[in-house]
Amino acid sequence: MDCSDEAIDLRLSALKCPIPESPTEDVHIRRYPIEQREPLRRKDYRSGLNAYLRLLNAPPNAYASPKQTRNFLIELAINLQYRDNATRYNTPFDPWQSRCLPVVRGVSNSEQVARALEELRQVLQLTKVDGVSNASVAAAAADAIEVLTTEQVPLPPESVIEKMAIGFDTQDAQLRNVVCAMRLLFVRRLRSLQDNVNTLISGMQAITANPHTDSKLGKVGR
Amino acid sequence: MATKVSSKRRLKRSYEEELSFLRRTAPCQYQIDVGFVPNMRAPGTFFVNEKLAPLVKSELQRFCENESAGGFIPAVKQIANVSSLPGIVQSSIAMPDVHSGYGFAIGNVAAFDMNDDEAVVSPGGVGFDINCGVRLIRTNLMEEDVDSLKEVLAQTLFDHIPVGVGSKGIIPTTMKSLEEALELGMDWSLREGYAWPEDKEHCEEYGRMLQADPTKVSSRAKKRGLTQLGTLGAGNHYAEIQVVDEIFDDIAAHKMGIGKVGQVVIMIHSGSRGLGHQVATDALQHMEKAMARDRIKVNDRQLACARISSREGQDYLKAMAAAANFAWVNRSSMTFLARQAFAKVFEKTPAELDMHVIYDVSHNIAKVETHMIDGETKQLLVHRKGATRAFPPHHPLIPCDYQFTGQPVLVGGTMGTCSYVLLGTERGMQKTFGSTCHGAGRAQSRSACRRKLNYEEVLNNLKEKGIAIRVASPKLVTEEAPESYKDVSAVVDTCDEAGISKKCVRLRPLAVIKG
Repeated sequence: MDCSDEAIDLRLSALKCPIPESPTEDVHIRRYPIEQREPLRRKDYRSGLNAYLRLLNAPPNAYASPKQTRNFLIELAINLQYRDNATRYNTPFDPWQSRCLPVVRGVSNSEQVARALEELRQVLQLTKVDGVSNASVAAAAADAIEVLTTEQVPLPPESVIEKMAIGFDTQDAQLRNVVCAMRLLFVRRLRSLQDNVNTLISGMQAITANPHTDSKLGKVGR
Repeated sequence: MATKVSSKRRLKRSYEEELSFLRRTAPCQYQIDVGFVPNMRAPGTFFVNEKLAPLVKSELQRFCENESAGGFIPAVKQIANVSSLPGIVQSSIAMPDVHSGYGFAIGNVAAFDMNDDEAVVSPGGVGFDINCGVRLIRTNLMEEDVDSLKEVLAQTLFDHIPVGVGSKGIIPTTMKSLEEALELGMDWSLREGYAWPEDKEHCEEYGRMLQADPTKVSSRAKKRGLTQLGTLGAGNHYAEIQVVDEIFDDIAAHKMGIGKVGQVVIMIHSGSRGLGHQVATDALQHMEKAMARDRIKVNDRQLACARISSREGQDYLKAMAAAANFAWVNRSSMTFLARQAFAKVFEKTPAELDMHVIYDVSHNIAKVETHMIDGETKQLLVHRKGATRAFPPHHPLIPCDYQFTGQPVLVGGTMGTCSYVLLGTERGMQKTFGSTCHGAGRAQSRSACRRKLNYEEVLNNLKEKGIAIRVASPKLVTEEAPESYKDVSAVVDTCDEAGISKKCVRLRPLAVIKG
């Protein structure tokens, strides 16, 4: 097991946990209620931590050094995370539902959100088919939010965005911004897809291409 | 308001009576009322500004005063005749560069409902030069880099790209490879290495119509095309070295790789050569029989057509698609040769010269497209003859690079005059099935030009403007002199004012090669 600081930090990032500045991190603890976490926050946290480790039935090597303690805790966290979400991780990929963030999944239950999505659907001129369109808009919105919050998306200058054609007229600046963001993300993905296609064509050309000319065949007309 | 009159009486209308059927409905838009010609199923529409309107009307006046002269039918009558075809949707539309053509006016757009069993396809609505079109290639050279080399460049291009009637290409082609090219379009050029992967991306239909069937192309047509791959042809076809003269839309120009005024680009205007002509000729013969069988009546024999779903209609669409593929391969081959020519002169690779295709448009073609009609999506067969597709921003059929700007529309001027790059608009999508103009549009017939103009004077005028020129047949340049055409700037301004496309870049010529 790689117990270097870098490897530990990577695992914490994967769990979307902050990299702790103090030896222990007490926010993502599920065993203790908040009021019982005090012993872990003290300067002499070691005795509190040992008690916590005993509660978790930690193996002896987890007590050996702070690094190994942290590693044990992270491994345990990953296992618990997987156990809690095993069904989702093992369900075949559904492009509409699985890509929705919890905040927009099940939006049809919320009248207010459903109404907002219906307005957006009408503005985007999406055809409504048995309520599928709202799920599509929700999925697209969730997708956009996820990409914008997890990836470094380079945005064009504001002056360019202001002039950007979004495909319809609206006085709603917020709606315009949302549509701009979604359009930009779509075109970014389209560009990436096109680049892959071009790379494949180049690969094919390396095998098939043999352009040649024969000037003896040429004839200028009258 | 036009009154109903019998067809016999209609033939005897005075010019003033005829004018009463034409109504100005917007500053640059006119409607041709039903009744202008017999059997109209929809009105006609044409876009002209105050500068161009007299040209359209004078054609009608000449027709009224001397009706039977050579069987000539003015463009407005032709627009209306197209409105009489079965299955037409909304209106027969004409662009500002409209002028009289074979059956359909050149500059005419007409859409037919794919779900209407009566709807027709007409070779006259596509034209004889199937998929004639324009391609624009950028470079990273500036005017000062090429100014002293204009003559050398013109000569080198002339040496690389065979031009003129009966010219033969330098790309070796067998019947087998020709048939593959007819089926694969630009994919053939890519496979053989004559094109770059990015070229395909910046080409209307991605350079290939999938319904193409080479078995529907006659052996006579194939024989005509066999030696013509990579040739420019004659008439108004040309390859021009141009310089960016004015930029109207910085952002859109930037997306095209056009950075500033003075940048050098290459424009190629050509089509499917003899092969396309033969496909159209063959189809017209077959369709005359189909019309008799299906009892299709048209106002003008040149409007020969067949039901879209009939064998003749389907055969034509498959053969037309094959000819369209040939035209894309032809323009790709000439792009390859132009890249070679520039590489030779500047001793740099085409990639080092950034010779990317900005876009490639078709202005003689019929395509199945989806459009919103009265709030519903409909599958239409859109005929564009001397008209360019101009799809708006975010249309799924335009490349990702132009999703925010709209489709580039390449409008070639005439010898010695400006050319333009326009952009597709949402308004164009609503009013003209996403179409706009294609060029200057002829103002005088070829024979009139030959009678009135002197070819030496035309060539000297170009020299005085500092334009290098190489032509295969100097005597034919009178037919293509700027005087023979409408003012391309007036045409483009009309499109811009009507909102059916908008101006992006103006280009002026430095050197030209022609047939």
